[in-house]
Amino acid sequence: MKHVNVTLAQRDMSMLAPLIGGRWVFMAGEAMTPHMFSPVDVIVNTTNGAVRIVSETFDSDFEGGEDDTYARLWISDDVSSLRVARREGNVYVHHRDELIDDVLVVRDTVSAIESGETLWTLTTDVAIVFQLSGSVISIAKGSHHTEMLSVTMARGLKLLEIPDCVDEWQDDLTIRHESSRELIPLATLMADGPR
Amino acid sequence: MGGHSGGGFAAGSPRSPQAFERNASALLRRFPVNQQGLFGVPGRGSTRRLYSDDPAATARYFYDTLGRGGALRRIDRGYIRTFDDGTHVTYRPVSGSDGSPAIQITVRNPNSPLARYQKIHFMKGSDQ
Repeated sequence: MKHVNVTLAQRDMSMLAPLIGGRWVFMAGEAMTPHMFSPVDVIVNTTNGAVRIVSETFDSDFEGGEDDTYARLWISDDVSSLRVARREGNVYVHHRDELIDDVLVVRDTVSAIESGETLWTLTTDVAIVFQLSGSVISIAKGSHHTEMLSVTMARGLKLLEIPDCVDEWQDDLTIRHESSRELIPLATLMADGPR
Repeated sequence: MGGHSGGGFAAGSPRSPQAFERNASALLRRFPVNQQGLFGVPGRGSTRRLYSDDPAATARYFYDTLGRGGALRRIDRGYIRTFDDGTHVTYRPVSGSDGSPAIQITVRNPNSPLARYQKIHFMKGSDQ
């Protein structure tokens, strides 16, 4: 069985951690749409600093056969593309001034199973969730396979919907795909180190 | 559940889900899909292959037809077109894996005739 890990690095988490305790200012993206889809990146600006949440792709053959393309989240402190986002009018101020109480990571594990045997497993961080004083905002992969990001807002964690996108893999007569999910506070991940 | 990711979709907009479905209908008139909504023939693994005399032109046609009206952004080695519901089409004239042109189609509408996700490599030749 192949097991692939595509999770945030400690370096990424160390850029997110200082945002806790600050206040939300805005989010933006070069091509972020009013429906909250943003290819490649979303800039998060807070009173404690700004980061860019990036979805980049890589090719891998872990499923067997030809390479397919998969998405990986990482964090950058380069927010120079904010200039373009501003020029394009793609700056969104929902939930401005709310306190950032916590940052959490949504970690999904997708498995392909044939006759009870696991063929491969992909463990991947699919979303970064900002728990604000009056709401939650998640910046999530809009696909396991492309650079698309999707922003979702809700009044609380229990109301937050982040699709698992496991239906991007097609089941057939012999192979089925399953997905499981963990919601992990950033502090826990940082204390645990790489899993 | 109360999560949301924006408001309703303006049906007349070129970025609307309806516009994408019109694009898909136009493409399907020339390139049929199988029962699973997949173009071409199976490659090795989960990707698809679509054979033609001019793979570069065929890939470009796919991208131009399916992506028409979608919001454009450059991505690594290619382009992405996004529609209001999050449906998107990526196009890489030279893919990182084998150098062939490649298209990824990710569809949000569960009633679309196209599969939820597919990656197609455009190859020279025939699948016969």
